[in-house]
Amino acid sequence: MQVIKDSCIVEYPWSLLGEETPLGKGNAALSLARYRAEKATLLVRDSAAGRIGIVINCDTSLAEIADELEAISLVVFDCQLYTDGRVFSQVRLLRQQYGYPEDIMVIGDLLQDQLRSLERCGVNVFWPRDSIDLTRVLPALSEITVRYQSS
Amino acid sequence: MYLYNEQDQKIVDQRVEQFRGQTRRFLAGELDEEEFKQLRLRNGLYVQLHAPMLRVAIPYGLLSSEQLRMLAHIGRKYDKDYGHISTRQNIQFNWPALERVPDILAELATVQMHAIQTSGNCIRNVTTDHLAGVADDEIEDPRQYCEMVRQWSTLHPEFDWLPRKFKIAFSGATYDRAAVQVHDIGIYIVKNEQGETGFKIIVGGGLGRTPIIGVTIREFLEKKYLLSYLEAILRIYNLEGRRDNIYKARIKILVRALGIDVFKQKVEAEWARIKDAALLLDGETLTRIQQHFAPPVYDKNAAADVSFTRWLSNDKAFSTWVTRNVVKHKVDGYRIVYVSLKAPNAPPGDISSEQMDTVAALADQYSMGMIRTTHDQNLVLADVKQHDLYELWHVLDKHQLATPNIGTLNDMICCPGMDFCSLANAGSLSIARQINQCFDDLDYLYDLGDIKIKMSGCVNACGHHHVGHIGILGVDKNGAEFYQFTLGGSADNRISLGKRLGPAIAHAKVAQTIEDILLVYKNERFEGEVFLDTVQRIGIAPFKARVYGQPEVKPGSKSETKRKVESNASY
Ligand code: SF4
Repeated sequence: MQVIKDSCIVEYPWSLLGEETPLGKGNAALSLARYRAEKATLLVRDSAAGRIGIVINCDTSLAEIADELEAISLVVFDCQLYTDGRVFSQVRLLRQQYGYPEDIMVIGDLLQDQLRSLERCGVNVFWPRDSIDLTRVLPALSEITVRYQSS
Repeated sequence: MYLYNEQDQKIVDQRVEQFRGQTRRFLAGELDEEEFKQLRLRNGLYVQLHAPMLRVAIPYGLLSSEQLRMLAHIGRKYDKDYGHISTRQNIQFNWPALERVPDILAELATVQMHAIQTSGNCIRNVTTDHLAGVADDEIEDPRQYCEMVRQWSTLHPEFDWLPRKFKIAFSGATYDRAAVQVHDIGIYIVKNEQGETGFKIIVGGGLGRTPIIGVTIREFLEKKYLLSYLEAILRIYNLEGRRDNIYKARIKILVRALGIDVFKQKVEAEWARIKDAALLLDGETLTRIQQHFAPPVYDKNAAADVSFTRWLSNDKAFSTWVTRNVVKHKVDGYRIVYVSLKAPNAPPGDISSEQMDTVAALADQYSMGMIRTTHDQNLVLADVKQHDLYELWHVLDKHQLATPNIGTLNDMICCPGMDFCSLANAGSLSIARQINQCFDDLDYLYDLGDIKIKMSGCVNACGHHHVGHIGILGVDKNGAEFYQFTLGGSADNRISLGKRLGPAIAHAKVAQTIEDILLVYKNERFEGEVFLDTVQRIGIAPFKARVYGQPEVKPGSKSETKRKVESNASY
C-alpha cells in the first residue's frame, strides 16, 4: 500500500487484514479482537513470515493494550470521525507514557490539515483516505514549520 | 507588551497561507461545507445571518496604537467602517467577504495580529484583568503568564480538536475583574503562607446553557508548573470529555460527572508524570517573557500638577466624567481612563474606524501608545497623567467616547443578538436602545449607582446574563421576542448566578420592568447600599411582586419614588 511515511510517499510493506482474510506471508495488522483471538498462533509465527500489528480506534484504552505492545510492530489508529480529537492525546501517550518506539499509523476519516499536528504528537505513517491523492496531501505536512511547543 | 520575534511572525504568516489554501480548496469544491467550517472557525471566521463574521484575537485585551490603527483600516477597507468589541476582549467584524478574509489576515499579520483559535473547539484567547499592571490591588501582573499560556496553547498539536471550546482567564489582583470563576480554567495569582507567589487553579466553570461556578482543583501551584498543570487538565479533558452531545461537552460537565476528587486525581496523576519534563518553566523563560511587561517609565513629577484639581472644580462636565470614567492608578499623578463604547445612540461595544484612529492617536499622545479592551466592551487608556486628562477628555467627548456612564445601568454588556447572530431567539440591540431611551437622565443613573445589566440573545449566553446584576435572556415564545430576567448575578470574587425573576417579559415591556426593579431597590436600599447587595439581602420576592403585579404590602416601605418616565409602555 502507498502511504506517507516520515514525510515521503512510499510503498509500505504492510497489509491491513479484514476479519476473514487469512493470514498469509508478510506484515499484517489485525483488529484487536482478532489479534486476541489468534494470539497463541501469532506469537509462535516464524518472524521471517512477517511482523504483526494491531488496529485500534479512539475507544480503545491504551491501558488495555499495554501488555501487547512489546510483541507488536505497528499500531494503527482507525479514525471514525475527523473531529474526534482523542487520537491526538492517545498517540502522544503511546509515545510518551508507554514509550512505544515502532510505527504509529493513522487511517480513516482525517483532514490533510490535521496531519502535521498528528505527526507532532507522534504519528509517522499516514494513509488518510482510500481515494485521496497523496501527492496533493503531502505539502500539508510542511505548511507550518515553526512551533511554540517543544514537540 | 509582548513583541513577536522571527518565530512568532513566521507562525502567523504561515497560518495565513495555510488558510488561503483552505479557502481556495473550499471554493474549488475540494472541502465540503462542514469540513471548511471546522477549519475556518479555527481562524475566527463564522458565517452569520447576513455575512461572515471575523473575530480577531486581542491577546488578553492588549493592543498597541499601531494595531488599533490596523483594525480601523480593516474596518474601512473590508467592512462597514466599524468593529465590535466582544465580551472576551476580542474584536469582531460583521461584514467581511469570505474570499477576502485571507487578505485581511495577511494585513493583520503585518502588525503581529491574527484570528487563530478565536472560535472552534480549541483553546481560545486567554483573557485577563483589563487593569493588569496598573491596578493598586495587584499581587503580580498576570499578563506575563497570559503570554506564556498564549504561546503554549497556540497551535498546540494535541488540543486543536477538543470536545468543545475552552476558555482560560487570569486575575492577578485581589478584586476579580476577569470573571475567573466562570471559565473552563480560571487562575488567580496568590501568595502562599511562605509569601511565595503562585497560582490558585479553578476548573469547570462556565456560562452557556448550564451555568456552573468553577471549583478549586489546586489551592497553590508553583509558578514553574503552570504549563504542565494546564496540559494535564487539557489531556484528561480531551480524552474523557463527552463527544456525543454538544450540550454536555464542556469540561464543567466532565468535572461534575466525575466529581472534583476523581477529576483531580486523574489530573494530578498525569501531571506527576509530566511536571518535571519539557514544560517546566525555568527562570530564564520566565525572565525573558517578564521583560516584555516591565512597567513603563513614569514621570516622577506627574503628581506635582495642579491644573487637574482646578479643572475638576471649574468644569462640571469634566468632573462628572472623571468621577464615572476615571479610576485610580497605582502610580501617583497617573490615572486610568475608561473610553466608553456605550454612547446611548450606538450598539454597546461598537467602535467606528474613525473612533479607533482617534483612540490610537490619544494613546500615542497620552498613554504610552497602548490600549486595552475590557470584557465589559469598553476600552481603557491605562497610563494617563492627571495633567493630560482635561485635554484627553475634550477629544474623547468630541468623538462620542466620553459618555460618563461606566459602571452604570447604561454600561450594558450585550451580545449581537438577532441583528447579526443566526442563533439568536430575540434581539438584544433593540433592547439596549429601549433601555437607553428610557434611562437617559444621568443624575438618576448616578443615584442608582453601580448596576451591571448583561444581555444575551439566546441560551448560549455570550452576553453573560447569568452573572449580570440584572440578567436578560432573549427567548422565543411562539415566534415573538420575550425576555427572561434574572437578578443578583455577579462575576467578581463573590461570584453568584442570578435568580430567575418569573415568566419572560414581552419586548415592549423590558425597560418598564427594569424601572419596576429599580423602584423596589430605591425603596428598600439602605444608605449607600448598592443594587447587588440589596438584591442579595432582600431576595427576589419583593421584585417579583412589583413586576408581576401581585400586591406587595410591606409595612414600613418608604414612599414610592416618582418615576422618571411616567409612561413608556409604547416602546
Ligand atoms: S448569546 Fe446567542 S444570540 Fe447572542 S451572540 Fe451568543 S449565540 Fe448569538
